[in-house]
Amino acid sequence: MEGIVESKARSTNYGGILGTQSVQFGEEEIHRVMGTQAPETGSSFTALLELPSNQAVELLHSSGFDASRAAHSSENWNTQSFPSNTALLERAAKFSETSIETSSVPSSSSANSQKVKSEPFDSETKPNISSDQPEHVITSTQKRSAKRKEIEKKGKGTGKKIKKVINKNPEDKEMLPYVHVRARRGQATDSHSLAERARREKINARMKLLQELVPGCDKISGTAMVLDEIINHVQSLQRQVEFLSMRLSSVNPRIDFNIDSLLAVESRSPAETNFPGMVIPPMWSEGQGQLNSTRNQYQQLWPLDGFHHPVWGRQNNPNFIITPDNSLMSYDSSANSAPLHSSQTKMEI
Amino acid sequence: MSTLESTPDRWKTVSQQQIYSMKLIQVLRRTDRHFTVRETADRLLAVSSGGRTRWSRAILSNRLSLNMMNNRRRRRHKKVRVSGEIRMKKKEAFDRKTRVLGELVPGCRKLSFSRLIDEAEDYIAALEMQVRAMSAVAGVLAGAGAGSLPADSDKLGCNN
Repeated sequence: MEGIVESKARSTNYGGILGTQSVQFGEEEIHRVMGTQAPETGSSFTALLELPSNQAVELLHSSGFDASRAAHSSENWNTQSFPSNTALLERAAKFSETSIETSSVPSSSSANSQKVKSEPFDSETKPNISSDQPEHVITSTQKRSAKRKEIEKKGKGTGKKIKKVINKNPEDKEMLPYVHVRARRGQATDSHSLAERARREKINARMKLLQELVPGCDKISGTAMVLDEIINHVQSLQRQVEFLSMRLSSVNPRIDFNIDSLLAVESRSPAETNFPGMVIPPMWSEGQGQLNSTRNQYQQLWPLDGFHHPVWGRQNNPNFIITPDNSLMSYDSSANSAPLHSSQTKMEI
Repeated sequence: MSTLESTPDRWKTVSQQQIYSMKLIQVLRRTDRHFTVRETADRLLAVSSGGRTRWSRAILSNRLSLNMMNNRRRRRHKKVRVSGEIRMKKKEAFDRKTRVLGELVPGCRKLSFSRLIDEAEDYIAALEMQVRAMSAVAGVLAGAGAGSLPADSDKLGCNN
C-alpha cells in the first residue's frame, strides 16, 4: 500500500517538475484519499479503484464506441490485457477531467480525487464512476478527451508509443497535476513500474547533467562508476579549497597592507616597486616580513584598520600615519633591526 | 520559470567570481573573525548561493558538515548480504556510494537520490567557482607581497 502511495506521489511530483502547477492539489487529494479508503487486497487493478469486481466488469463491457476502439486497439497491442484498458483510459480521461472541474464539490471529492490519482496509470485507469458523474461532463472536457483520443489514435496508428505525453490543451490553460506516461510496447504497465520508470527517467536526466559537469564522465557508462567519479571530484575540489585556504591564511597578515595596492588606481613608480625586492629578503629571516614589506611599500598609505590590534595594541590610525616609526619601534618582539632599516628606506625613498 | 540564478550555471559567470573574490578579500581583512579561513570561504560561498540550496543552508547553520564529520563514529552498516545475487551487491554498492556522496555534500545525508544529485550538481559548480576565485586571490596576494602589483583585472578575468 505504501508503495502505491509513494509511486503516486512520485508521479505527481514528476508532473510538477515538468511544469504543471497544481501538483500540490494532486498530492493533497491523494493523501487524503489514501487515508480514508481501504483498498482491496486483490490485484492492483481493482485495488486502486476500490470498485467491487462486478462494477469493474461492467466497465469492461461498456458502450459500443469504446468497444470499437477496443477492437481497433487489440490489433496493435501485444498483451491481451490491453484492449479493454484503452477503453477504460478513455473513460478515465473523461471523468478525471470532469473531476478537475468539479473537485471543489466536497461530496464527490473522494470520487473525483480518485480519478485524479488514477489518471497516471494507463493500464489501471478505470474511472470510479458513480452514477451522478455523467451529468457533470462539460463541453471543454469533451474537447480535451477528443484531443487525447486523437493522440492515442495517432500513437496506435504508428505502432509506437510516445514515452511521455503532457497533455497540453491549446484551448484552455489549465495545467493538469500529473504526467501521462505511456508505456512502450512490451513493457509492463502496472502502476509501480510506471512510476518507477518515471522516477528512473528523472534520475537519469539528472545524472546526465552531472556527467557534463564532472570532467571525464562522458565516457563512463553505469551509474555506479559515474558516482565514483563524482565523489572523487568533490573530494578533490574540497581538498583544493583546503589547500588554498591554508595559503590564504599564511598570506593573511599582509592582506590589509596589500589591499590598497590591489585596488588603487594610481600607478607606482618603478623605483618604488623595485625597492621591496631588494630590501625584503634580508628582512624575512626575522620573521617580520610583513612589517618590512608594508613599510617599504606604503610609506604614504597606512590602511591600518583593525588589523594591528593584536600586533601593536590599540592605536588610532592617525598616529600611525603621522609617526610610523614610533609605532614600529613600540613593537616589542624582535624589532631591533627594524627601525634601522625603516630609517634607511625612508631616506632612500 | 527558472532563471540563471537558480541553475548551477550561475557559478560559471565571471561576475560571480569577481564578486566572490572581492567579498572574500573584504572578509579576510577583518580581525574579529571567529572562523578559520576555510570556514569563512565556505560561509561566503553559501551566502552567495542565496539560500536556495540545501547545502548552503547547512553550511550556514554552524558548520555542520565537514568539521563534525571527522569526529563522527562510523555506524556499522547493516548487513545486506543475505543472498549472493548480483543485484543485491549492486544495490549495496550503489547505496554505499550514495551515502558517501551524501556525506560529502553538506546537509545532504538523508536525502532522496534525485534531490541528492541536484544538490551535488550545484555544490560542485559552486566549489569550482570557489577554487578559481580563491586561487586568483591567493595568487594576487602572494604576488603583491613580493612587490609586483599586477592590476586587478588579472584576477577578474581569470576563468580557468
